[in-house]
Amino acid sequence: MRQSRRWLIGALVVVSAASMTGAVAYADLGGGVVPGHTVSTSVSGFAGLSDQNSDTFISLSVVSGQLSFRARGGGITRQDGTEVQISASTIDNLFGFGCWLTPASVVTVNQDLSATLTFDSSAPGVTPCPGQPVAPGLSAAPAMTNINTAQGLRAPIVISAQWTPSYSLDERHVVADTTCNVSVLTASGPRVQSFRATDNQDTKDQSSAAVATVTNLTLQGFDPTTGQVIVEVPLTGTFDTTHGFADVATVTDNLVVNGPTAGTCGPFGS
Amino acid sequence: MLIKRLARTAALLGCLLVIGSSVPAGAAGGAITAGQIDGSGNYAFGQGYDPSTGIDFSVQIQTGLNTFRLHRPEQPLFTISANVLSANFDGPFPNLGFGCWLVPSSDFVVAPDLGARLTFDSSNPGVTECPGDPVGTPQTGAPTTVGPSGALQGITGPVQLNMTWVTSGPVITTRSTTKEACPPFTSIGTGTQQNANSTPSGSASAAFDGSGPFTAQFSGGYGSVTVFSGRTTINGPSTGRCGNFGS
Repeated sequence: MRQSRRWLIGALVVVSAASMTGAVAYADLGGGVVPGHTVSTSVSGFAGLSDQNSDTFISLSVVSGQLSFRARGGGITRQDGTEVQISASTIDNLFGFGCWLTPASVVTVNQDLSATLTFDSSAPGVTPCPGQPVAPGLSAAPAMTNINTAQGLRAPIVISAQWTPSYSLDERHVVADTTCNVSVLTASGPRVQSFRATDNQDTKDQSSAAVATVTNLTLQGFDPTTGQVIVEVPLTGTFDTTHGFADVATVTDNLVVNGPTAGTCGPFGS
Repeated sequence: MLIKRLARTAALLGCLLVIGSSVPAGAAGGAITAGQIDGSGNYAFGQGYDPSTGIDFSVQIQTGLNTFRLHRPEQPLFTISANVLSANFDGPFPNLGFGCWLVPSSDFVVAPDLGARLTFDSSNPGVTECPGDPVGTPQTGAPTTVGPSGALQGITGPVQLNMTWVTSGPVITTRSTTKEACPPFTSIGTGTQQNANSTPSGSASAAFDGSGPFTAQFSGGYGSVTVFSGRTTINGPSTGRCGNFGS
Protein backbone atom coordinates (compact mmCIF):
# COMPACT_ATOMS: atom_id res chain seq x y z
CA MET A 1 0.00 0.00 0.00
CA ARG A 2 2.66 2.46 1.00
CA GLN A 3 4.72 1.79 -2.11
CA SER A 4 1.75 2.41 -4.29
CA ARG A 5 1.06 5.68 -2.54
CA ARG A 6 4.64 6.77 -2.84
CA TRP A 7 4.59 6.28 -6.54
CA LEU A 8 1.18 7.77 -7.08
CA ILE A 9 1.97 10.93 -5.23
CA GLY A 10 4.89 11.48 -7.46
CA ALA A 11 2.52 11.92 -10.31
CA LEU A 12 0.30 14.48 -8.70
CA VAL A 13 -1.49 16.09 -11.59
CA VAL A 14 -2.01 19.73 -10.91
CA VAL A 15 -3.71 21.06 -13.98
CA SER A 16 -2.57 18.72 -16.66
CA ALA A 17 -2.94 19.57 -20.27
CA ALA A 18 -5.06 16.48 -20.66
CA SER A 19 -7.52 17.81 -18.15
CA MET A 20 -8.01 20.89 -20.20
CA THR A 21 -8.94 19.21 -23.42
CA GLY A 22 -12.35 17.91 -22.45
CA ALA A 23 -15.69 18.92 -23.82
CA VAL A 24 -16.40 22.60 -23.54
CA ALA A 25 -19.02 23.51 -21.00
CA TYR A 26 -20.05 26.41 -18.88
CA ALA A 27 -20.15 26.33 -15.14
CA ASP A 28 -21.18 29.28 -13.05
CA LEU A 29 -17.83 30.69 -12.15
CA GLY A 30 -19.37 33.90 -10.93
CA GLY A 31 -20.54 35.51 -14.16
CA GLY A 32 -18.36 37.43 -16.51
CA VAL A 33 -19.18 35.74 -19.83
CA VAL A 34 -20.71 38.73 -21.59
CA PRO A 35 -22.21 39.13 -25.06
CA GLY A 36 -19.65 39.62 -27.79
CA HIS A 37 -16.99 37.81 -29.77
CA THR A 38 -13.68 36.79 -28.24
CA VAL A 39 -10.77 34.67 -29.40
CA SER A 40 -8.39 33.40 -26.75
CA THR A 41 -5.49 30.98 -26.72
CA SER A 42 -3.87 29.26 -23.81
CA VAL A 43 -0.78 27.11 -23.71
CA SER A 44 0.14 24.64 -21.05
CA GLY A 45 2.78 22.15 -20.11
CA PHE A 46 2.75 19.37 -17.57
CA ALA A 47 5.44 16.99 -16.41
CA GLY A 48 5.40 14.23 -13.82
CA LEU A 49 9.05 13.58 -13.00
CA SER A 50 11.12 11.39 -10.73
CA ASP A 51 14.77 11.02 -9.82
CA GLN A 52 16.85 8.08 -10.95
CA ASN A 53 15.96 6.01 -7.90
CA SER A 54 12.24 6.77 -8.23
CA ASP A 55 12.08 7.82 -4.61
CA THR A 56 11.61 11.56 -5.08
CA PHE A 57 8.91 13.00 -7.29
CA ILE A 58 8.20 16.41 -8.74
CA SER A 59 5.36 17.59 -10.92
CA LEU A 60 5.41 20.82 -12.90
CA SER A 61 2.51 22.61 -14.49
CA VAL A 62 2.64 25.87 -16.39
CA VAL A 63 -0.37 27.58 -17.93
CA SER A 64 -0.32 30.80 -19.91
CA GLY A 65 -3.63 32.34 -20.90
CA GLN A 66 -6.85 32.93 -19.00
CA LEU A 67 -6.44 31.83 -15.38
CA SER A 68 -9.10 31.28 -12.74
CA PHE A 69 -8.70 31.22 -8.98
CA ARG A 70 -11.03 30.59 -6.09
CA ALA A 71 -10.28 32.34 -2.81
CA ARG A 72 -10.88 30.27 0.31
CA GLY A 73 -14.58 30.56 1.02
CA GLY A 74 -14.92 33.09 -1.77
CA GLY A 75 -15.80 33.39 -5.40
CA ILE A 76 -13.94 32.96 -8.64
CA THR A 77 -11.65 35.55 -10.14
CA ARG A 78 -10.31 35.40 -13.68
CA GLN A 79 -7.28 37.07 -15.14
CA ASP A 80 -4.91 36.69 -18.04
CA GLY A 81 -1.41 35.66 -17.09
CA THR A 82 1.03 32.85 -16.55
CA GLU A 83 0.84 30.44 -13.66
CA VAL A 84 3.38 27.89 -12.45
CA GLN A 85 2.46 25.08 -10.08
CA ILE A 86 5.00 22.78 -8.48
CA SER A 87 4.47 19.81 -6.21
CA ALA A 88 7.08 17.55 -4.73
CA SER A 89 7.13 14.50 -2.52
CA THR A 90 9.55 11.99 -1.11
CA ILE A 91 9.29 8.24 -0.88
CA ASP A 92 8.36 8.55 2.79
CA ASN A 93 5.41 10.81 2.02
CA LEU A 94 6.75 14.27 2.75
CA PHE A 95 4.76 16.54 0.44
CA GLY A 96 4.74 20.15 -0.69
CA PHE A 97 2.93 22.29 -3.19
CA GLY A 98 3.11 25.84 -4.50
CA CYS A 99 1.44 28.07 -7.08
CA TRP A 100 2.78 31.35 -8.43
CA LEU A 101 1.90 34.00 -10.98
CA THR A 102 4.91 34.74 -13.13
CA PRO A 103 5.99 36.86 -16.07
CA ALA A 104 5.15 35.22 -19.39
CA SER A 105 8.85 35.01 -20.21
CA VAL A 106 9.41 32.06 -17.85
CA VAL A 107 7.95 29.68 -20.44
CA THR A 108 8.65 29.28 -24.14
CA VAL A 109 6.47 27.05 -26.32
CA ASN A 110 7.66 26.43 -29.85
CA GLN A 111 5.72 25.62 -33.01
CA ASP A 112 6.36 21.88 -32.62
CA LEU A 113 5.12 22.07 -29.00
CA SER A 114 8.54 21.60 -27.53
CA ALA A 115 8.85 23.91 -24.52
CA THR A 116 11.14 25.26 -21.83
CA LEU A 117 10.51 26.58 -18.33
CA THR A 118 12.89 28.70 -16.26
CA PHE A 119 11.43 29.44 -12.84
CA ASP A 120 12.71 31.22 -9.73
CA SER A 121 10.11 31.96 -7.08
CA SER A 122 12.22 34.87 -5.77
CA ALA A 123 12.54 36.60 -9.14
CA PRO A 124 10.96 40.00 -9.75
CA GLY A 125 7.37 39.74 -10.90
CA VAL A 126 6.76 36.35 -9.28
CA THR A 127 3.92 36.37 -6.71
CA PRO A 128 1.86 33.69 -4.96
CA CYS A 129 -1.39 32.75 -6.70
CA PRO A 130 -4.34 34.77 -5.38
CA GLY A 131 -6.33 31.63 -4.56
CA GLN A 132 -6.77 28.01 -5.48
CA PRO A 133 -6.19 27.61 -9.19
CA VAL A 134 -9.13 26.08 -11.02
CA ALA A 135 -9.42 24.94 -14.59
CA PRO A 136 -8.73 27.73 -17.06
CA GLY A 137 -11.40 29.10 -19.29
CA LEU A 138 -14.95 27.94 -18.93
CA SER A 139 -14.53 24.30 -18.13
CA ALA A 140 -17.41 22.78 -16.22
CA ALA A 141 -15.30 20.69 -13.91
CA PRO A 142 -13.24 22.78 -11.54
CA ALA A 143 -10.25 20.53 -12.20
CA MET A 144 -8.58 22.24 -9.32
CA THR A 145 -5.47 21.58 -7.38
CA ASN A 146 -7.75 21.26 -4.35
CA ILE A 147 -4.98 22.25 -2.05
CA ASN A 148 -3.78 25.57 -0.75
CA THR A 149 -1.83 28.06 -2.81
CA ALA A 150 1.37 27.04 -1.06
CA GLN A 151 2.15 24.44 1.55
CA GLY A 152 5.15 22.38 2.52
CA LEU A 153 7.67 24.19 0.33
CA ARG A 154 10.31 26.62 1.60
CA ALA A 155 11.19 29.43 -0.77
CA PRO A 156 13.02 30.14 -2.92
CA ILE A 157 12.35 27.46 -5.51
CA VAL A 158 14.60 27.45 -8.56
CA ILE A 159 13.90 24.96 -11.33
CA SER A 160 14.20 24.66 -15.09
CA ALA A 161 12.68 22.11 -17.47
CA GLN A 162 12.53 21.12 -21.11
CA TRP A 163 9.79 19.27 -22.99
CA THR A 164 10.59 17.28 -26.16
CA PRO A 165 7.73 15.97 -28.37
CA SER A 166 7.15 12.22 -28.54
CA TYR A 167 4.36 10.04 -29.94
CA SER A 168 1.58 11.38 -32.14
CA LEU A 169 -0.06 14.77 -31.90
CA ASP A 170 -3.66 14.63 -30.65
CA GLU A 171 -5.85 17.27 -32.31
CA ARG A 172 -9.42 17.95 -31.26
CA HIS A 173 -12.06 20.34 -32.58
CA VAL A 174 -15.15 20.95 -30.47
CA VAL A 175 -18.20 23.00 -31.36
CA ALA A 176 -20.26 23.65 -28.26
CA ASP A 177 -23.61 25.42 -28.09
CA THR A 178 -24.62 26.53 -24.60
CA THR A 179 -27.87 28.08 -23.43
CA CYS A 180 -29.04 29.51 -20.13
CA ASN A 181 -32.58 30.74 -19.49
CA VAL A 182 -33.78 32.44 -16.34
CA SER A 183 -37.08 34.04 -15.42
CA VAL A 184 -36.82 37.63 -14.25
CA LEU A 185 -39.44 39.97 -12.86
CA THR A 186 -40.02 43.18 -14.78
CA ALA A 187 -42.50 46.03 -14.39
CA SER A 188 -44.71 44.32 -16.93
CA GLY A 189 -44.48 40.90 -15.29
CA PRO A 190 -42.18 37.86 -15.46
CA ARG A 191 -40.00 37.48 -18.54
CA VAL A 192 -37.49 34.84 -19.67
CA GLN A 193 -33.96 36.12 -20.10
CA SER A 194 -31.82 34.00 -22.42
CA PHE A 195 -28.12 33.76 -23.11
CA ARG A 196 -26.53 31.62 -25.81
CA ALA A 197 -22.90 30.91 -26.53
CA THR A 198 -21.21 29.12 -29.41
CA ASP A 199 -17.64 28.09 -28.86
CA ASN A 200 -15.31 26.66 -31.50
CA GLN A 201 -12.45 25.15 -29.56
CA ASP A 202 -9.31 23.73 -31.12
CA THR A 203 -6.87 21.73 -29.03
CA LYS A 204 -3.46 20.35 -29.87
CA ASP A 205 -2.04 18.02 -27.26
CA GLN A 206 1.50 16.72 -27.69
CA SER A 207 2.84 13.90 -25.52
CA SER A 208 6.40 14.66 -24.51
CA ALA A 209 9.49 13.53 -22.73
CA ALA A 210 10.64 16.02 -20.12
CA VAL A 211 13.70 16.63 -17.99
CA ALA A 212 14.06 19.12 -15.14
CA THR A 213 17.01 20.54 -13.25
CA VAL A 214 16.19 21.46 -9.68
CA THR A 215 18.63 24.01 -8.28
CA ASN A 216 16.77 24.81 -5.08
CA LEU A 217 13.68 23.22 -3.57
CA THR A 218 13.14 22.30 0.10
CA LEU A 219 10.25 20.31 1.49
CA GLN A 220 8.88 21.05 4.96
CA GLY A 221 6.57 18.88 7.03
CA PHE A 222 6.15 16.43 9.87
CA ASP A 223 8.98 13.98 10.27
CA PRO A 224 7.67 10.95 8.35
CA THR A 225 9.13 8.61 10.96
CA THR A 226 8.02 10.21 14.20
CA GLY A 227 5.12 12.27 12.89
CA GLN A 228 5.96 14.88 15.51
CA VAL A 229 8.62 17.44 14.61
CA ILE A 230 8.92 19.63 11.55
CA VAL A 231 11.74 18.63 9.22
CA GLU A 232 13.22 20.15 6.10
CA VAL A 233 14.45 18.04 3.18
CA PRO A 234 16.32 19.70 0.30
CA LEU A 235 15.74 18.28 -3.16
CA THR A 236 18.17 19.10 -5.93
CA GLY A 237 19.38 17.39 -9.07
CA THR A 238 18.01 16.06 -12.33
CA PHE A 239 14.51 14.63 -12.70
CA ASP A 240 12.97 13.10 -15.83
CA THR A 241 9.94 11.28 -17.20
CA THR A 242 11.56 7.86 -17.57
CA HIS A 243 8.92 6.65 -15.11
CA GLY A 244 6.51 9.51 -15.60
CA PHE A 245 4.79 11.45 -18.34
CA ALA A 246 4.53 14.92 -19.84
CA ASP A 247 2.65 16.87 -22.43
CA VAL A 248 2.30 20.32 -23.96
CA ALA A 249 -1.00 21.64 -25.26
CA THR A 250 -2.52 24.67 -26.90
CA VAL A 251 -6.21 25.49 -26.71
CA THR A 252 -7.86 28.18 -28.83
CA ASP A 253 -11.41 29.29 -28.11
CA ASN A 254 -13.41 31.25 -30.65
CA LEU A 255 -16.42 32.30 -28.60
CA VAL A 256 -19.58 34.15 -29.62
CA VAL A 257 -22.03 35.06 -26.86
CA ASN A 258 -25.50 36.46 -27.50
CA GLY A 259 -27.82 37.81 -24.83
CA PRO A 260 -29.01 40.90 -23.03
CA THR A 261 -26.52 43.51 -21.91
CA ALA A 262 -27.92 43.50 -18.40
CA GLY A 263 -28.74 40.65 -16.05
CA THR A 264 -27.10 37.32 -15.33
CA CYS A 265 -27.73 33.64 -15.91
CA GLY A 266 -25.23 31.12 -14.64
CA PRO A 267 -21.83 32.10 -16.01
CA PHE A 268 -23.35 34.72 -18.31
CA GLY A 269 -23.79 38.41 -17.75
CA SER A 270 -22.13 40.93 -15.53
CA MET B 1 9.82 -2.26 -5.75
CA LEU B 2 8.83 -1.76 -9.36
CA ILE B 3 7.77 -5.39 -9.70
CA LYS B 4 5.62 -5.16 -6.59
CA ARG B 5 4.07 -2.00 -7.94
CA LEU B 6 3.27 -3.59 -11.28
CA ALA B 7 1.87 -6.68 -9.65
CA ARG B 8 -0.35 -4.60 -7.44
CA THR B 9 -1.55 -2.54 -10.36
CA ALA B 10 -2.27 -5.62 -12.43
CA ALA B 11 -4.27 -7.14 -9.61
CA LEU B 12 -6.18 -3.94 -9.12
CA LEU B 13 -6.99 -3.63 -12.79
CA GLY B 14 -8.30 -7.18 -12.79
CA CYS B 15 -10.66 -6.28 -9.99
CA LEU B 16 -11.76 -3.14 -11.77
CA LEU B 17 -12.71 -5.00 -14.88
CA VAL B 18 -14.91 -7.20 -12.76
CA ILE B 19 -16.65 -4.43 -10.86
CA GLY B 20 -17.09 -2.15 -13.85
CA SER B 21 -20.86 -2.03 -14.15
CA SER B 22 -21.02 -2.09 -17.94
CA VAL B 23 -18.08 -1.81 -20.23
CA PRO B 24 -19.50 -0.53 -23.50
CA ALA B 25 -18.50 -1.63 -26.95
CA GLY B 26 -15.47 0.29 -28.01
CA ALA B 27 -14.08 0.54 -24.49
CA ALA B 28 -13.37 -3.07 -23.67
CA GLY B 29 -10.40 -4.11 -21.62
CA GLY B 30 -9.64 -0.60 -20.44
CA ALA B 31 -8.96 0.73 -23.92
CA ILE B 32 -11.09 2.85 -26.25
CA THR B 33 -10.90 0.99 -29.55
CA ALA B 34 -12.60 1.36 -32.92
CA GLY B 35 -16.35 1.25 -32.61
CA GLN B 36 -19.04 3.25 -30.92
CA ILE B 37 -19.11 4.49 -27.34
CA ASP B 38 -22.31 5.52 -25.62
CA GLY B 39 -21.45 7.22 -22.37
CA SER B 40 -23.49 8.92 -19.69
CA GLY B 41 -22.97 9.88 -16.12
CA ASN B 42 -23.07 12.49 -13.39
CA TYR B 43 -20.54 14.86 -11.96
CA ALA B 44 -20.62 16.94 -8.78
CA PHE B 45 -18.27 19.30 -7.05
CA GLY B 46 -18.60 20.71 -3.56
CA GLN B 47 -16.38 22.81 -1.35
CA GLY B 48 -16.82 23.92 2.22
CA TYR B 49 -14.97 25.42 5.17
CA ASP B 50 -15.35 24.62 8.86
CA PRO B 51 -14.23 27.64 10.87
CA SER B 52 -14.19 25.68 14.14
CA THR B 53 -11.47 23.31 12.89
CA GLY B 54 -9.94 25.50 10.20
CA ILE B 55 -10.40 22.72 7.68
CA ASP B 56 -11.27 23.51 4.07
CA PHE B 57 -12.40 20.49 2.14
CA SER B 58 -13.62 19.74 -1.35
CA VAL B 59 -15.16 16.74 -3.02
CA GLN B 60 -15.59 15.74 -6.64
CA ILE B 61 -17.36 12.67 -7.93
CA GLN B 62 -17.92 11.44 -11.47
CA THR B 63 -19.84 8.40 -12.66
CA GLY B 64 -19.79 6.66 -16.01
CA LEU B 65 -16.74 6.04 -18.14
CA ASN B 66 -13.58 7.29 -16.49
CA THR B 67 -10.10 7.38 -17.94
CA PHE B 68 -6.99 7.03 -15.78
CA ARG B 69 -3.36 7.72 -16.43
CA LEU B 70 -1.61 4.74 -14.92
CA HIS B 71 1.75 5.25 -13.31
CA ARG B 72 3.69 2.87 -15.46
CA PRO B 73 6.08 3.97 -18.18
CA GLU B 74 4.83 3.76 -21.74
CA GLN B 75 1.39 2.53 -20.76
CA PRO B 76 -1.77 3.68 -22.53
CA LEU B 77 -4.55 5.49 -20.77
CA PHE B 78 -7.03 3.17 -19.11
CA THR B 79 -10.80 3.66 -19.47
CA ILE B 80 -13.38 1.85 -17.35
CA SER B 81 -16.93 2.27 -16.17
CA ALA B 82 -16.61 3.37 -12.56
CA ASN B 83 -17.68 5.93 -9.99
CA VAL B 84 -14.69 8.05 -9.02
CA LEU B 85 -14.56 10.11 -5.83
CA SER B 86 -11.80 12.62 -5.17
CA ALA B 87 -11.64 14.40 -1.80
CA ASN B 88 -9.25 16.94 -0.34
CA PHE B 89 -8.73 18.13 3.22
CA ASP B 90 -6.71 21.27 3.88
CA GLY B 91 -6.18 22.05 7.56
CA PRO B 92 -3.83 24.30 9.49
CA PHE B 93 -0.20 23.70 8.48
CA PRO B 94 1.10 21.07 8.07
CA ASN B 95 -2.18 19.15 7.93
CA LEU B 96 -2.99 18.35 4.35
CA GLY B 97 -4.44 15.27 2.73
CA PHE B 98 -6.35 14.01 -0.24
CA GLY B 99 -7.55 10.77 -1.74
CA CYS B 100 -9.21 9.15 -4.72
CA TRP B 101 -11.46 6.10 -4.59
CA LEU B 102 -13.72 3.99 -6.77
CA VAL B 103 -17.08 3.80 -5.02
CA PRO B 104 -20.35 1.87 -5.36
CA SER B 105 -23.12 3.47 -7.40
CA SER B 106 -25.35 3.64 -4.35
CA ASP B 107 -23.01 6.19 -2.71
CA PHE B 108 -24.02 9.00 -5.05
CA VAL B 109 -27.55 9.90 -6.12
CA VAL B 110 -28.58 12.79 -8.38
CA ALA B 111 -32.16 14.08 -8.47
CA PRO B 112 -33.94 15.33 -11.60
CA ASP B 113 -33.56 18.95 -10.39
CA LEU B 114 -29.76 18.43 -10.14
CA GLY B 115 -29.76 18.22 -6.37
CA ALA B 116 -27.56 15.35 -5.13
CA ARG B 117 -26.54 13.28 -2.12
CA LEU B 118 -23.26 11.54 -1.30
CA THR B 119 -22.71 8.96 1.44
CA PHE B 120 -19.19 7.57 1.50
CA ASP B 121 -17.14 5.39 3.83
CA SER B 122 -13.74 4.33 2.57
CA SER B 123 -13.84 1.22 4.74
CA ASN B 124 -16.94 -0.16 3.06
CA PRO B 125 -16.64 -3.24 0.85
CA GLY B 126 -16.52 -2.28 -2.78
CA VAL B 127 -14.45 0.83 -2.19
CA THR B 128 -10.95 0.76 -3.67
CA GLU B 129 -8.24 3.34 -4.27
CA CYS B 130 -8.03 4.83 -7.76
CA PRO B 131 -5.68 3.00 -10.14
CA GLY B 132 -4.14 6.24 -11.40
CA ASP B 133 -4.87 9.90 -12.01
CA PRO B 134 -8.36 10.47 -13.45
CA VAL B 135 -7.95 12.59 -16.56
CA GLY B 136 -11.47 12.80 -17.97
CA THR B 137 -13.05 11.05 -20.92
CA PRO B 138 -14.07 13.72 -23.41
CA GLN B 139 -15.28 11.09 -25.88
CA THR B 140 -18.28 10.50 -23.64
CA GLY B 141 -19.26 14.13 -23.39
CA ALA B 142 -18.10 14.16 -19.80
CA PRO B 143 -16.78 17.22 -18.04
CA THR B 144 -13.03 17.46 -17.79
CA THR B 145 -11.26 15.72 -14.95
CA VAL B 146 -12.52 14.46 -11.64
CA GLY B 147 -9.58 15.51 -9.58
CA PRO B 148 -5.97 16.38 -9.67
CA SER B 149 -4.58 13.14 -8.41
CA GLY B 150 -5.32 9.47 -8.01
CA ALA B 151 -3.16 9.35 -4.95
CA LEU B 152 -4.06 8.89 -1.31
CA GLN B 153 -1.84 11.19 0.68
CA GLY B 154 -1.69 12.71 4.16
CA ILE B 155 -4.85 11.13 5.55
CA THR B 156 -5.67 7.80 7.11
CA GLY B 157 -8.96 5.99 7.09
CA PRO B 158 -11.66 5.46 7.43
CA VAL B 159 -12.65 8.55 5.50
CA GLN B 160 -16.34 9.31 5.82
CA LEU B 161 -18.31 11.89 3.87
CA ASN B 162 -21.97 12.82 4.06
CA MET B 163 -22.97 15.61 1.72
CA THR B 164 -26.01 17.07 0.03
CA TRP B 165 -26.25 19.50 -2.86
CA VAL B 166 -29.29 21.80 -3.13
CA THR B 167 -29.76 23.43 -6.53
CA SER B 168 -29.30 27.18 -6.34
CA GLY B 169 -29.07 28.41 -9.92
CA PRO B 170 -30.51 28.01 -13.41
CA VAL B 171 -29.86 24.93 -15.51
CA ILE B 172 -27.23 25.52 -18.19
CA THR B 173 -27.42 23.24 -21.22
CA THR B 174 -24.52 22.53 -23.58
CA ARG B 175 -24.64 20.49 -26.76
CA SER B 176 -21.33 19.75 -28.40
CA THR B 177 -19.82 18.04 -31.39
CA THR B 178 -16.24 16.81 -31.18
CA LYS B 179 -13.92 15.73 -33.95
CA GLU B 180 -10.60 14.25 -32.94
CA ALA B 181 -7.56 13.06 -34.85
CA CYS B 182 -4.91 11.15 -32.96
CA PRO B 183 -3.16 9.07 -35.62
CA PRO B 184 -3.92 6.38 -36.54
CA PHE B 185 -7.31 7.04 -34.90
CA THR B 186 -10.07 9.50 -35.68
CA SER B 187 -13.36 10.06 -33.92
CA ILE B 188 -16.51 12.09 -34.10
CA GLY B 189 -18.97 12.46 -31.28
CA THR B 190 -21.84 14.41 -29.86
CA GLY B 191 -22.52 15.21 -26.23
CA THR B 192 -25.02 16.95 -23.99
CA GLN B 193 -24.45 18.41 -20.55
CA GLN B 194 -26.83 19.99 -18.06
CA ASN B 195 -25.26 21.82 -15.17
CA ALA B 196 -26.54 23.87 -12.25
CA ASN B 197 -24.93 25.61 -9.36
CA SER B 198 -25.80 24.28 -5.95
CA THR B 199 -25.22 24.81 -2.27
CA PRO B 200 -23.41 21.91 -0.61
CA SER B 201 -23.55 21.02 3.06
CA GLY B 202 -22.47 18.10 5.15
CA SER B 203 -19.67 16.61 7.18
CA ALA B 204 -16.33 14.90 6.69
CA SER B 205 -14.26 12.82 9.05
CA ALA B 206 -10.86 11.22 8.72
CA ALA B 207 -7.44 11.58 10.37
CA PHE B 208 -4.45 13.59 9.28
CA ASP B 209 -1.16 11.74 9.29
CA GLY B 210 0.68 12.92 12.40
CA SER B 211 -2.10 14.80 14.14
CA GLY B 212 -5.03 12.45 14.62
CA PRO B 213 -8.72 12.30 13.73
CA PHE B 214 -10.95 15.20 12.84
CA THR B 215 -14.57 15.88 11.97
CA ALA B 216 -15.44 18.94 9.91
CA GLN B 217 -18.91 20.26 9.24
CA PHE B 218 -19.93 22.90 6.75
CA SER B 219 -22.86 24.46 4.99
CA GLY B 220 -23.19 27.14 2.38
CA GLY B 221 -20.10 26.46 0.34
CA TYR B 222 -19.79 26.39 -3.42
CA GLY B 223 -20.96 23.47 -5.53
CA SER B 224 -22.33 22.34 -8.84
CA VAL B 225 -23.93 19.23 -10.30
CA THR B 226 -23.77 18.07 -13.93
CA VAL B 227 -25.44 15.27 -15.84
CA PHE B 228 -24.02 14.35 -19.21
CA SER B 229 -24.31 11.90 -22.07
CA GLY B 230 -22.49 11.38 -25.31
CA ARG B 231 -22.00 9.11 -28.31
CA THR B 232 -18.70 8.82 -30.14
CA THR B 233 -17.71 6.77 -33.17
CA ILE B 234 -14.03 5.84 -33.34
CA ASN B 235 -12.27 4.76 -36.51
CA GLY B 236 -8.87 3.16 -36.46
CA PRO B 237 -6.87 -0.06 -36.59
CA SER B 238 -7.10 -2.90 -34.14
CA THR B 239 -3.55 -2.25 -32.96
CA GLY B 240 -1.60 0.85 -32.04
CA ARG B 241 -2.50 3.66 -29.70
CA CYS B 242 -2.67 7.41 -29.37
CA GLY B 243 -3.98 9.44 -26.43
CA ASN B 244 -6.71 7.36 -24.85
CA PHE B 245 -7.36 5.47 -28.09
CA GLY B 246 -6.02 1.97 -28.72
CA SER B 247 -4.30 -0.56 -26.58
